[in-house]
Amino acid sequence: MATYVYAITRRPAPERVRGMRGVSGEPVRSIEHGGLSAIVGSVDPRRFSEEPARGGEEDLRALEGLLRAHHRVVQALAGDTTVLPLRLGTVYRGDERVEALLEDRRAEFEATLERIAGRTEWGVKLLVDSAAFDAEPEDREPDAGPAAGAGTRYLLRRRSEERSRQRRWDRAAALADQVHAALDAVAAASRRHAPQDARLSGHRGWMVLNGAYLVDQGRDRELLAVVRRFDDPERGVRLELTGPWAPYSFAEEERA
Amino acid sequence: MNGSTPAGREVALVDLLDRLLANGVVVAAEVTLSVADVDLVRISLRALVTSVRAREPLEARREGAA
Repeated sequence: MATYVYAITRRPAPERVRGMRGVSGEPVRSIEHGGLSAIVGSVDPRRFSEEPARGGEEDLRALEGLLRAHHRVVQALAGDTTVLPLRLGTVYRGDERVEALLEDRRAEFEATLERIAGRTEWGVKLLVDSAAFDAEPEDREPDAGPAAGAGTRYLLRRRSEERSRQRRWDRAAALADQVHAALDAVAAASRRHAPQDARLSGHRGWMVLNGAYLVDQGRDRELLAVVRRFDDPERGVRLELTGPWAPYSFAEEERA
Repeated sequence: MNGSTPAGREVALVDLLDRLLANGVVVAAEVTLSVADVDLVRISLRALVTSVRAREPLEARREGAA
């Protein structure tokens, strides 16, 4: 059997891991070493290394199952301890290799656990309805004049629409920077993920911000206040909050 | 403002993808999890769209792209 590693926590591993089932339905347990705990499960290595996935329906279902199972374990831990999530699909040949990992990288893991302790990740997405957003007088069609022919009027209108769309896009992008800065101001750390694919998320309009914010637990309300302050559906501006999350987006040292 | 609590209702798959595939501490694991290979996942997104969308409520499916 191989050892699948979900996360690393400070000792002792919380009681609530016991009784949990992991990505293969296996019991979740912990490996304690040098003041750290690796939260693991024993899995059949063939399930993870057999052959390259082809991206068919079956593989995708398997991926979704893995994502959800991995997340369930990490999220359960995050309830009462500082948890450092490992990337999905970290599998070792045995427990002693995991002990070696805890030994070799102890200083790094302890520093990261220290950095994320007492903090929670929140996700904030900013969605702009491109039609309702901030229609200003300058966005209106210019007057082509009474003498203009139908073709000219059409071309002018097309060009005007493009310019209007560009201006709205620029304003939406500027608003995203502003919202991100306001959220960042109450956060200990922040990151912007790539906007989500609308085909996957099903969102409408422009997703101009897909941010992750690591917030001190005492400052959650401040973050929520910023979200409420900018949320303005009548103007085509919608903020979506997700969380609390285990600090997935902050498990590695901040990237520039 | 829409909130969602992982404990309250099922987390959106797309939010999990953001966090679990591109994040988390990377260690040199000894067995490769082929299904979660990021490049592969990117290639497979189209198929994933189909399989995920088919199971989502109608309301969420209305008008996908901007």
